[in-house]
Amino acid sequence: MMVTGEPRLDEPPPEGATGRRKDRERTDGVGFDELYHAHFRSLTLQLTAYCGDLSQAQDLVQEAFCRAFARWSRVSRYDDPVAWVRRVAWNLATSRWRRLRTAQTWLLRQREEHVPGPGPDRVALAAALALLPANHRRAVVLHYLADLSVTQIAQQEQVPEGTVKSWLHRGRAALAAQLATNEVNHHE
Amino acid sequence: MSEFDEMLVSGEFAAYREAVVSAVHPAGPGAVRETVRRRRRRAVVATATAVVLAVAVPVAAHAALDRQHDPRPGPAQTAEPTPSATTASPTSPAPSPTPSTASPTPAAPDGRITRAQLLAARLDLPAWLPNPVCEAGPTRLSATYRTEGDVLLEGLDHGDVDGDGRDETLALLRCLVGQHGPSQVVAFDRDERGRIVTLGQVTRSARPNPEWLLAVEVTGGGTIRVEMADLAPGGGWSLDWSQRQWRGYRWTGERFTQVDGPTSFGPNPHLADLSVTATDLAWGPKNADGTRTGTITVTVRNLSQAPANLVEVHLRMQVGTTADGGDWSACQGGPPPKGPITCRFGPLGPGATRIFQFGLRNSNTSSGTGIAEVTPIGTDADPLLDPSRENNEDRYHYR
Repeated sequence: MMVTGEPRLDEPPPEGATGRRKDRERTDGVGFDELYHAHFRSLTLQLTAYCGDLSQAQDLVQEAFCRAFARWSRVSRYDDPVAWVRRVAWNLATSRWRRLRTAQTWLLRQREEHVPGPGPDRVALAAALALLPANHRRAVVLHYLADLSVTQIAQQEQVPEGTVKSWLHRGRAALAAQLATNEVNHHE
Repeated sequence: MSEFDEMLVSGEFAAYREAVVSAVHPAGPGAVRETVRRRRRRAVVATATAVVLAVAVPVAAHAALDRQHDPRPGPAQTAEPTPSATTASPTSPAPSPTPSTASPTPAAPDGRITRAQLLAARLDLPAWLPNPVCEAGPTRLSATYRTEGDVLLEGLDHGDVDGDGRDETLALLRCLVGQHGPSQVVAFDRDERGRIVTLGQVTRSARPNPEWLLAVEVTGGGTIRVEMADLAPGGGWSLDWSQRQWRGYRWTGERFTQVDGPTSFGPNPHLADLSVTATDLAWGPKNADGTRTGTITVTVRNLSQAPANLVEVHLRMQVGTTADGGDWSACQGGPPPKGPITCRFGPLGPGATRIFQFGLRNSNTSSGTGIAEVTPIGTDADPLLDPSRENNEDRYHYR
């Protein structure tokens, strides 16, 4: 398994609950449970920043892991399985699957426990992100929250590296301008 | 980009990460396993139903038709369509045969649709190249060609083309009108309920080209490659003379766009659009031997972008006229002997014009209307055809 910049925000739970199954799956590559626990939170974080909706981001990442598990014998042998899951999750975020699910999810959520939001001090960044064009937003989120290099972002987005650099530069400048304005207003 | 900006942005993201991560509640890998198990059960049921239908319907039809004969139905024969001699293009790869029995392997991802399942379903087809016979909308594919407008499945492949982690199905479809007809490549997927849905049209045949799509395949990276020919076979045209290309397409999230390969065909080297005009001919005064002579001006043009290596001009008129003098020396082998008045010459380059002053001698003072005809010749190994025959003849009067 290639080590990507994907930050590990969570460790697998102690052996016991999933230990037996994990050992069996380890025989043909990386363990599914391990991958899930190591990357679920980080991927959800990225997609929350991208779509502005934590519940939807959790759904998308859960679905991406379902698709990975459905073909786990193949995905586990990839050099970088988490890159596959990340790509699928991000594609789902822009796909018609998301559009199809949106209405359904909204209905479901009426009955769900309310998921606490990120808190008022993070609203400024979310608002600033929402103003960016989608590709600039993807680039800055992948850079700052997935810790991907320009090369890795270019691979995931299937665009030249120069394009990614330009997206990053413009996205970052727009965010900084927006955040600085907010700060000034805040102090007034 | 100032250092301050960078610090401001990265600081905000760091704080965002800290604040949001604690709010994330993973459903857990156990929930993943449960979802996948449930979907596999559903997929097995759906596959089994489709296969039962695919086998049962033809068996029932077969049994009904053959009731007076041997009533033993042959599911293996009827479920698997046999290739039709009239429709199979000689070079398109035969679709890989699909087992007619349901494989209990639950690994089949959602959008992977077999040949039998496609044939059993009613599909929503995108628009064909406009024509009076083939229609878009709900369509059932035909296993063999029976009547004009039947849509045949001529190629099939699977791959994850929209990057959602599951395979979709790519079908090369041809709507047959005689030996011709438009073709298109369509991506199919399944919806949440397991029904077959149309993801989109990858590409289709077009005017003036490509007239014919030949094959479809999906690469590991999700690019769809389509092989196409500028000219369709049939009507005396062999597919060997068509130019072929592979073009690559990708899903943008809303539609398929071309990302790879050439975007157009160059002029087909086997096609030369030639034209001919001829002036009227007036015979001169009688010579001592009773014959008369005259001159006809024949203009040959190559209107195409392909060179015509060898061209034949034929002057049709009453018997008793022979080639005599003028530009006959420019023909291969000189003036034609007694018989058809023809001249072979070449090459005639793209856009080139050649003007001949042909001398003729007539022994019976005939008059009438003749026809000047031009034909591209080429060779057996490198044949040359004319795509538009309307300008290959011109009438002239002689008296």
